[in-house]
Amino acid sequence: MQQVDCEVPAARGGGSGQSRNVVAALLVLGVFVAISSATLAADFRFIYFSAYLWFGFAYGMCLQYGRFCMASAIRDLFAVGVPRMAVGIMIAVVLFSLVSAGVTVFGRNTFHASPIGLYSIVGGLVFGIGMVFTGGCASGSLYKTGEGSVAALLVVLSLSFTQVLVVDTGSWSNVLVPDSWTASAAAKGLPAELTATDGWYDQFLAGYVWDLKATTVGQALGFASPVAAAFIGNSLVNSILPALAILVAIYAGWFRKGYLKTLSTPYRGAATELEGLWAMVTASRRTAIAGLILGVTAGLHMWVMQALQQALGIYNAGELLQAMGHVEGLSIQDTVFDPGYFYITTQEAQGAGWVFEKLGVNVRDSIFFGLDNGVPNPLLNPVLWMSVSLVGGAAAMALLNNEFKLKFPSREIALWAIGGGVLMGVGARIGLGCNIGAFFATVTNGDPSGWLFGLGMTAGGFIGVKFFSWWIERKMEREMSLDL
Amino acid sequence: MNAELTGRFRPLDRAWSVIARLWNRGRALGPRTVDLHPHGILTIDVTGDFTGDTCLRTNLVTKMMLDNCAPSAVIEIATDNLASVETIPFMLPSHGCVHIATVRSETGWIVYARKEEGPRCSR
Repeated sequence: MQQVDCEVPAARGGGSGQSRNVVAALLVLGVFVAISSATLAADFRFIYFSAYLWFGFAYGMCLQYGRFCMASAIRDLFAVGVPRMAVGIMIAVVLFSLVSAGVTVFGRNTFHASPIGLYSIVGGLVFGIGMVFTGGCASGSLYKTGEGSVAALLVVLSLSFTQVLVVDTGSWSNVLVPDSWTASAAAKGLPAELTATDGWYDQFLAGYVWDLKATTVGQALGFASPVAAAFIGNSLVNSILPALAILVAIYAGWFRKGYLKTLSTPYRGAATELEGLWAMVTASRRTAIAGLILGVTAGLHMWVMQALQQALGIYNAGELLQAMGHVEGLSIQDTVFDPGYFYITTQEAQGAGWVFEKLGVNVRDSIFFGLDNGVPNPLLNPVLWMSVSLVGGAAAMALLNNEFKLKFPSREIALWAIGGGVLMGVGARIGLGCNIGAFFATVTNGDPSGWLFGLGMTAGGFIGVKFFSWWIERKMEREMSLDL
Repeated sequence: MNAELTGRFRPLDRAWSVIARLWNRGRALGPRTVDLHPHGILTIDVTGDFTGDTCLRTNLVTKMMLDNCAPSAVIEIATDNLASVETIPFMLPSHGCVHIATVRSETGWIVYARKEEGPRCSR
């Protein structure tokens, strides 16, 4: 159990195939260099877009190298008892939280805490079921798209368009809304064009979510010192200690028995247990390295975006777009979605929302699009640049390692991808994010709501695994009856 | 059927033959050999071809395969799913199997494993 030789071999012999892949990887890189250079030459303010682009590219390389996937973490644990990916994600959580704390202390953090409520668990649950059905989480589906998986691309598309349908639910969904939400939404006095009391999602946001309290652990514990709030409250209490507790639980539940069975030296109590824990953490070098780099990169991303905001004198990319003369698609506050850190689902929803608008559907009468996020042209959506370049970075890394393969799914796998993507889209909007925005970026910045989403996602993953196992057995039984 | 073709395959419950029918797609299932450097010539007892399948499906059915193999059987798992290529070697010890090698194939990767002899084989 402890050490497994799992290095994935590259194509044998190298030769022209390998050379072609290296050239293709360089071409992918060249495309993004060209986009970055050309836009910067046209207007230096595109540096803000390029920052998102290159961090996206780095995320893509990192995720592909480590096969980093939240679906894999939960699924492998429950389905086949392999903790490799769950361990890698906890490593990334610890590292990201430390870098985030440093960024916060230096006043460079762009993170805003989410309201704390039951909605995170429900959203996580639905998202977790969906990601097990599709075989990839939101970020996992993006990097697998870069590896050439058409099924993963279907997941991304399904997830994106479903989000628009959820946030723009019409009057028919008002029957699902408690009166208290409607009253609370009406009391907010939002502009009439947002129709805040019409449609389930608008009232869910304005009448329920906005009434919940949002805080970080550092703030909740009342630290006077910003350093203590960031490093002790946000990082240690909200991220590192829970991550260590999860690692110990995974060790005790999934790793310890096998490790002790293969132990060649006498058992030495706590020393042996610690060695076992370390063996688990380092069992997959590739995953551990990827987790480490991902954590540091995600922290640096916040630093860079905040520094650029200060340098450009803006708080939101919408101001930049307006100054550059691109006002189409801005929200009523002249803003667009611009978190300043690693995020996946909202920009994908914006892309799908733009398509809906081109088809004549007004999606900006919703709070989600109309009030803050806007529906900018995808070519001028800085955060969407990050998602696209994430796919590119994953493709470049896959090509360099001879792991790129264009794979078309069977009809059955395509249906699972689309159906699971629908659940992920619904879960992402209820939970206000995905495995990255509502979990990874959240828990690492001291926001306890991320753990609620993670709890729901884990429960959803467990249900998804049980359902999928049942489905396989049922299929086997059906085949067996035909056989007889 | 797989049970008839493979030499050291345990007399199985009906489920296994169905797994084989479902998941081994046109590959030669009978005993055959591969020359796997530096392990020498191996006789393959059980083959699972999961090319095109998702990781969860690949991992779950591989788990069933590993559980149902006879002691000392050599198992060959073909997949083009990178996540499974990474995960399967980690699954092997808890199913009484050892990882022999992972090699690149025309369509993806092939993971070779051997079921161990002795008490660890009985589950």
